[in-house]
Amino acid sequence: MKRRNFLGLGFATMAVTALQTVGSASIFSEHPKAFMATSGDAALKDAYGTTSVIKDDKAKLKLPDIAENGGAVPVTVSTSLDNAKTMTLIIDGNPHPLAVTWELSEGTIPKFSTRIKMRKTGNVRLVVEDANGKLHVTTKQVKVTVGGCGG
Amino acid sequence: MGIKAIAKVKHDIATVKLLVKHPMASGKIGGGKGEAKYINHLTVKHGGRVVYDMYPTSAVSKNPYIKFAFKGAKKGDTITVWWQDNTGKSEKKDIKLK
Repeated sequence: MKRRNFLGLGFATMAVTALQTVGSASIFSEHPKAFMATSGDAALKDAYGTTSVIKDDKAKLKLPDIAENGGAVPVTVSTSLDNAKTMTLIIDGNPHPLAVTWELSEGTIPKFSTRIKMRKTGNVRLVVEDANGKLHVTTKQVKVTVGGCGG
Repeated sequence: MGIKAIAKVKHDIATVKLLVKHPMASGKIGGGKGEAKYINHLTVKHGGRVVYDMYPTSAVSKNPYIKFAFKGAKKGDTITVWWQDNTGKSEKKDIKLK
């Protein structure tokens, strides 16, 4: 994305934040840079200020082992942690690895499904930020037979 | 544009499935000459509180499918789905829980 678009994104986000009052300051408005990062670790650093993570089974990631169509890979993310703050999906093989961030609120069951695009075979990481700001990470490799970033 | 939804309540848990019509274009097609157009914020509110808050990018597939659940709902309640894309376009829709 060009610089002009990037700046526009920042302003749009500010406008959204001003209009919407979603509650706590969002990861997106605070760290728009993270969404433009070109490596998974850089995205992690921009979004959370650290790349130090705990590898455990608190972050749960459901993905197929082999994706025939990289344009629509079904994914389910969840966590067993109470009061987790955010969940972020990082697709290491994509030009901009940060794919989605969810902000969690009270009453929401932290289990979400969607479909994602994967350009090539690689790791997908789910980062769950717990109530103390610690990051829990689960990684899964997905084999992509037809890439899906054109579009 | 358009939002299709199935939202059902069982006990006090509402399960919501959404299908949003949107290109989710990365702008990378044909060597990056296309224009990026993707939803970058989607929220669902139930009685004034946010029950789903998502910041997607163009890495989410075309016509996004979204599934989630939340507590504290009853049949007949209304939820409001709202999204905005990187070009500033937005859409809002009220959906009745069944």
